[in-house]
Amino acid sequence: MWSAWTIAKREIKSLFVSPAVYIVLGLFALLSGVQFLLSLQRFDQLLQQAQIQAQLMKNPDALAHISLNVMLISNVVAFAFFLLLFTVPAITMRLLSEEKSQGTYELLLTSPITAWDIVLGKFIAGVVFFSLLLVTHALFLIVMFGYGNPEPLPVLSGYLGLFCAGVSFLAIGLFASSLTKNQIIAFFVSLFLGLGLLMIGWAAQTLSGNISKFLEAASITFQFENFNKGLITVSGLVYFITVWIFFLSATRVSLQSLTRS
Amino acid sequence: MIKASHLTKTYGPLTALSDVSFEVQTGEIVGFLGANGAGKTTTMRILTGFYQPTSGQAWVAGHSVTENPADVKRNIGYLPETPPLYPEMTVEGYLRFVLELKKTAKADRPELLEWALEKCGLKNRRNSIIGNLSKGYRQRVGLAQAVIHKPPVIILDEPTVGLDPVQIIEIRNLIREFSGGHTVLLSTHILSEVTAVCQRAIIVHRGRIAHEQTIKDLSAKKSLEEVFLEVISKDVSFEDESRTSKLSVAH
Repeated sequence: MWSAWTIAKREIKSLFVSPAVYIVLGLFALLSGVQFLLSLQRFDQLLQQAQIQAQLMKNPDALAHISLNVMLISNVVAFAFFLLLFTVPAITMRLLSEEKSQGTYELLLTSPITAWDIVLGKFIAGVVFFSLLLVTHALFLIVMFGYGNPEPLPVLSGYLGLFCAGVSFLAIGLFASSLTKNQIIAFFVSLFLGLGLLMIGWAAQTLSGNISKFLEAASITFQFENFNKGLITVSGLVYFITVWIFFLSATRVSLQSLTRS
Repeated sequence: MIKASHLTKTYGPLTALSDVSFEVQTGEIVGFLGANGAGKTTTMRILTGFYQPTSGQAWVAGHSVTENPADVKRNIGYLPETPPLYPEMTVEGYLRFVLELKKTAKADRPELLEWALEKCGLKNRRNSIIGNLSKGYRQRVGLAQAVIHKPPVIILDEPTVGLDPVQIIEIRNLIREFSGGHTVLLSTHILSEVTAVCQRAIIVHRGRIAHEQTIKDLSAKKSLEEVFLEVISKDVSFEDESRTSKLSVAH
């Protein structure tokens, strides 16, 4: 277990001197910033319309329908989820494929550590970096809590969903990275797997019966949206933890197969 | 200290090693000699526990590589053909990482670090970024990585390849210093390297052990080159292959 931390520490240090990683951080912040600004403007328009309506109709209830949580925050969080589909693979693509391409995996695999140490170490490093990404995103919350009055619990639940979904993409990306020494291939494989997990939800809409229910529950969007609505369910948590464990185990098998070829 | 018994390794239809057996005694420096593709790297990877053999068995420091690879890994230092370096790290940062990876006792680490830096001539480069080092210095960092935890068995895959003559001599001197205390197995395709550094040569050809020879038994009239060519020319089809394989006979 300590060896996993050794690997994680080294990886975190390397992540922070990698220019690609700063580009990912920067682009994520830029795109989510622009989207936040646009959403804020639209929300402002809605609010003004509602105020006019309330005055004209002498109906103060019209204002009560405008919810900061539903109309702004969950929008912003949902867009971040969409962005993660692309940004997380860009972080994870180098994690193991770089070890392969520069030959350092020979050092790792001939050291007295287990394949689990390597997988967990890389995973921890990814989670630490990803958490930083989320913290930069959560800066928008300061604005919202500073100027508005959102309900805190649904916001927390939305971010928990974002975290769980992002970590799922991390586990998928780590697995993709273990398959190849080419980072571009690793990127596209993890994007493809992530999209697949998202698109099975679309298939659910055209089908009916139990298959539809199954596919809906298996789609990562459905699980994330529940969290984003403020609905933390045991089945949701089990879903995410299953995805993590499945892809981490697959990564371990993939690493071990290197030495058995 | 190292014992290989009937090692065979196949990659699909390709047989990389067939029925390789040899022994290396404690404190010995043994050269593994052969053309490119003869099976040197595969043998070394099996001995480090990196690859599992298709059949056969090997023991390093008394531990089986198939049944107990974790204990084997604890007792070896390995320099692969490409030194396993992280270009963005400093020399010192990298070696500290290796010390943790090799599970050395925390209290011993500063001493081991200084010892390896000193031994490999890296003291004045300790804060350099590895990516900015010359090839010779990178090779030294690779060597430092293999010996820093003072393992009983050191395995070096072509430690002098691509270096200039001065660097070659420096690395050879370094390796010679490890004799006695450590068991060293090194591979090379440069014949003179074996006579310069090793006490014994094992010649591999096409995945088989073709010949074993102690260096001091070489007579003045029969050099290692002659022995080598004699051994591999017994293989009838060698003439065909020699056109494609790069065999360097450096002096």
